[in-house]
Amino acid sequence: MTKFFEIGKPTPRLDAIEQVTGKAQYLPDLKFPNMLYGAISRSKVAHGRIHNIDTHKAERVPGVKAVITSSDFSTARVGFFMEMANKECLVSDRVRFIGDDIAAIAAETQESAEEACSLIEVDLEPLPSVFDPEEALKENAPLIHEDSPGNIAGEIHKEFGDVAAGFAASDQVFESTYRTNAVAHCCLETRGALAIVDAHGRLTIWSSTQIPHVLREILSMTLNLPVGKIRVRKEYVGGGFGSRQSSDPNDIICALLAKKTKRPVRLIKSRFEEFTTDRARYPMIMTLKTGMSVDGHIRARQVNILTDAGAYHDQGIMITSHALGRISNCYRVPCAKLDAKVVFTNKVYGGAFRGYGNPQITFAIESQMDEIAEQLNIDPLDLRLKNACHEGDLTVSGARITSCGLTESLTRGASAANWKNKGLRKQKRGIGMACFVHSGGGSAGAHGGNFSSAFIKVEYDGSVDLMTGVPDAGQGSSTALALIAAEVIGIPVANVRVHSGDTGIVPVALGARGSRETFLGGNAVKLAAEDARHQLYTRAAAILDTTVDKLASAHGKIFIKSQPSKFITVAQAASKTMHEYAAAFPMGVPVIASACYTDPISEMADRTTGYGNLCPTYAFGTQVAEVEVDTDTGQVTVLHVIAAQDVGKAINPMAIEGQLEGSISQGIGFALTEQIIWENGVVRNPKLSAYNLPTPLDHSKVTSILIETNDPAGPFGAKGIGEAGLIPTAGAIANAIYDAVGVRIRELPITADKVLDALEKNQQQ
Amino acid sequence: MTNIQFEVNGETVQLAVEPHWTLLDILRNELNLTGTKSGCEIGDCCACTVIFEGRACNSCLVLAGELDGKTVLTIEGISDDGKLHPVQSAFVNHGASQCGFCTPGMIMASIALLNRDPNPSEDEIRLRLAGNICRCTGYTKIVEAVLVARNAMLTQGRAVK
Amino acid sequence: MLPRFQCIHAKTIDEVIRVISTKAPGIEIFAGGTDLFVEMKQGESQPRVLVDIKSIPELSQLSIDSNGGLNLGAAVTIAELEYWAAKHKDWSGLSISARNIGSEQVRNRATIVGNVCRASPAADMVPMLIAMGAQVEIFGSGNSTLLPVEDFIVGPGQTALKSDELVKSLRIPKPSSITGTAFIKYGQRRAMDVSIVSAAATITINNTDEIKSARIVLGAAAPTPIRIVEAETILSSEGLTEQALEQIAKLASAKARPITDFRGTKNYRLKIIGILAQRALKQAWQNAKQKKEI
Repeated sequence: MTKFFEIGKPTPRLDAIEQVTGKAQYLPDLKFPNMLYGAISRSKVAHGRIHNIDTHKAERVPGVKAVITSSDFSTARVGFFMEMANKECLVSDRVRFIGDDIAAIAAETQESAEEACSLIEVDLEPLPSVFDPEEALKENAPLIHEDSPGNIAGEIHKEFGDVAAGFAASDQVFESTYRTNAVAHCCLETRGALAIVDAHGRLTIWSSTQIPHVLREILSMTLNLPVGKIRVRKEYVGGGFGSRQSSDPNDIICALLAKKTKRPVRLIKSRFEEFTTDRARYPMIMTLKTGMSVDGHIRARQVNILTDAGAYHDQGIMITSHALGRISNCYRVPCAKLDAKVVFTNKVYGGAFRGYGNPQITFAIESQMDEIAEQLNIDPLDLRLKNACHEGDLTVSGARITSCGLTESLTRGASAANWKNKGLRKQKRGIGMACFVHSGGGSAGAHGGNFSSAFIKVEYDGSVDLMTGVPDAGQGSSTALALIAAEVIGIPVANVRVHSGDTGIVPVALGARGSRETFLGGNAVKLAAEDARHQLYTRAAAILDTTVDKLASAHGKIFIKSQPSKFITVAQAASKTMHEYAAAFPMGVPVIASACYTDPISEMADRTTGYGNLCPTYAFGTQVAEVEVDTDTGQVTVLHVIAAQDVGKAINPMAIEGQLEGSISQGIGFALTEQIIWENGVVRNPKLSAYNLPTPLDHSKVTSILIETNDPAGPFGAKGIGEAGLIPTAGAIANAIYDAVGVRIRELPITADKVLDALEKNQQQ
Repeated sequence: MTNIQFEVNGETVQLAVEPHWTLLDILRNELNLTGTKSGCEIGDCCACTVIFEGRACNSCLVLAGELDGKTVLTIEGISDDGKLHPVQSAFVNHGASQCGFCTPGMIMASIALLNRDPNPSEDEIRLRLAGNICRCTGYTKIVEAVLVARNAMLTQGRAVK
Repeated sequence: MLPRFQCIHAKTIDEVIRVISTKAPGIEIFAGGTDLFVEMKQGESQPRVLVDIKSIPELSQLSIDSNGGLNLGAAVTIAELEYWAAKHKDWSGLSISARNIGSEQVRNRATIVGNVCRASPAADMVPMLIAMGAQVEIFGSGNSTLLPVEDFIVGPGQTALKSDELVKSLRIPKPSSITGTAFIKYGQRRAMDVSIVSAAATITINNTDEIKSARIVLGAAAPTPIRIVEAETILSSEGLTEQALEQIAKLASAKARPITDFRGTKNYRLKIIGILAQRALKQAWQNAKQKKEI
């Protein structure tokens, strides 16, 4: 059993001191001389044709330096996949949701920018609009995009194995429909950008982004600037959760304003804009069909999904298509099929949100597992254990499960929840469980190559500067990477300084998405650190008169394994002072290392079938939720959530627990209270006091059980778990509600009125 | 413009202000004290919490004209000559911050609470911090940190700041 | 940013009266501003002149009068009342209403009188104030008049206050011993929410646990708060029986005129308003019994 010196211990964030003293600088804290303030004028109509945009009055407001519309530049589009992106940064001829970007202003003060905004006059011919995806599919529905007949943004039809045969061979077939609604990220810091174009025409842009390098590429394409002339910088970011892992009109509009005015421009969304124009979690209607043998084995699975894409393309098709892997890879499923339609509607378009479609489909899968268990008279725990994937499995979708903590998470989670005695609970209290699988370590298919890179330099005092392409959007990746570097080199983690988020300095990585940072970023850091360690050991070997293979290091010392009292310090090995050994290594030559880790495992999906091992590692877990239901009001209180999580290796248990607690809180919100409420395309609750995300009084106890399965490819065995915590929560809660009061709610959020209605219907029967 | 004079973090400040500016505007734009964050501008998130005349309040809803002769304490003013306040230390050591955006407001609300009531229960802590929204942590480690700070301050017999 | 305005930080009541007597349009009196400033920032209100009353000493007093009644000056904050009332058992019901409003930060600025004057159908201080028989002291043209809160609030967001009048204080009579109180607010979350529905109850008992008087008031259930007067008779004649509670729940649903909005449907509100009324009464009863023991 390897002993670790740095990793595996609860470690406070390296930048916590900056955060608690108010010294951490976020984008709105940045100010530059001559800086202008931006604002965006937006559509008040859900669907309309623009005949004219009159900017004269706006231009005359004192302090206004630029007013731009799409006619000022060749149409720049945003979207995750640039080849199908159909959202213009500033619309040219049509608006398609209330809030669509029409014109942008840069002015000396925020006040004058906003005043100018209100004076933009748009000659707009309203067109009929459609807000419901089922309505949008109907024959006479208003057409939102000319090149998308039937308002279909995309269709997916994929099958692994033969589900017709699978269902035919099943003893019982279960089919039910589940629905989820749009949910907002609610990052505490609203989206912003700050752009400066210098005398050479080089653009520097600060952005609240999760993807600095990718953003640089997108800006390069949309602004027609070579990447070398663009520098993306990210300060502290107040949350991401997927909202900042794709391009956004805000970044591009800010750059355009800076280019036009030749002055720094800062463009920050208001909280109202954040709620009404920022992409939200895709609402889905999922009809899940599962064929079972009478002794409880899954024989076939099929899901039909209708995804509400909103007004434009982003990642609706990709996110929906992932459902096929999710219905195939948690349990042993011999054949699986996905049919899906992603549909445009005249609302703000959806985007990535922690879990990437998995929270929605897992709600369906796990609710149905319990429904199946009841019908087959099998305990829900046993049903899951019976069908669970194991290490070594090759699933029907092509996923290779190289490490799997699912069974352990089930048994340990159930035991911690006292599952055997669930019948002895107080009346109106119940427990329910849910499992999940999630991809970790990014994937080749989604983002082209799957890699991360790092630079390391060891200072003369033995401390380390780590330049990583991985940006920390709050989840603590920098500290985790520092721990890895510290462990490998053998120094205290406090002696590692992490630099990230500046494309001018750090090497390329694909950003904080797909739970890839610890896995890919960690492996890159590990490789670079091993290179640096080798250089240090080579010097140490010369000084200690031994060979490299006989050395080890910890606590800042490099020592001979069999004689630990013979050592030199890392500082000495790195420094220029050991001049008596100048022959062994020249004085002052720095120890520097670089590495790029390319995931050797994940495959691109087969273009036709979608088959393949799409990511290098899979994280599994089980959550058990205990709830109490007030049967007079329908209100559900979550008392306790036990999260048994396969983490591979807990590099920093404190950060992992924090991630789990935070994502479970988001999961509870998703399950019970959160939804964006639209009425005729208008968001009715665009405020934090009306949106119903959990407050400190809405807490439930969380117990985290970290399971270490030591992934063979992860750095020290670690997998990515940034998204994991919220995926099974809604399913566990829905199952717990059923256990408590016998009502099955298949639509999220499970608000009190739905529970009350269901209880009343039950009583009448 | 009106001239006002008030105390921020123990120092006297003289400023010409417009009536429609808020304390948050003044802190961030005029005094460059950017530790206090703006999350919503309408009192829904408490990220802009400062201690005004000894009480936690949302600086986005305090008018410039009300500041004359008053005292304000912000996140920049609570460390004692570089030494962290017990609430700050507890937040660091117990993982109570992730993205950190809510952290200054959360810390100020916690300090205001402990100054008023040195021995609050966990329920009382949650009640007094109920308006401080955090999207990252689920509040668990935040409450733990406040409990730890409470205990540390009781042990130290720390005077009200 | 707030829109521009002129701000007068009044030092005396006379100063306030002078300004509002002009009856010029666009004048707003404020103390906490926690509703007003939000409206202004959202572009829903654009007053030209704001009059701040927080520097008027007379309006910042919380005191007990010679009859043991509570006087709350117009600038007394909800937090001040909450903490004070928690320590004075006759008034503890006010503490519970108060702590349900917004956040600690909002309560440190918002005022009880402000909550009454804004007259939101969901105003959380109002049901308890009516249940306790509170009156507003209206001051204008040199005269003071007292008006029960339930008569002062005339419509959603509307009060009987004229544009040249000011509310100086709230007067709440000393509750008869032994009076128990309860306030239940129902929202989707446990903090920060505007009430979906609420109920406040007071029950006065004698030494043999007989109900001498009672009040039950519903909030967020109609354009203005609903005091179920019939319930008062039922309770003092029958006591807190299951039958009485059933009747009262039916009365509550019958009298409620809730709306459907994004927080909840009319039907749902109607279903639970009766439950809340019953729970508030039961809690007030328990509270009365506890006070009797002390």
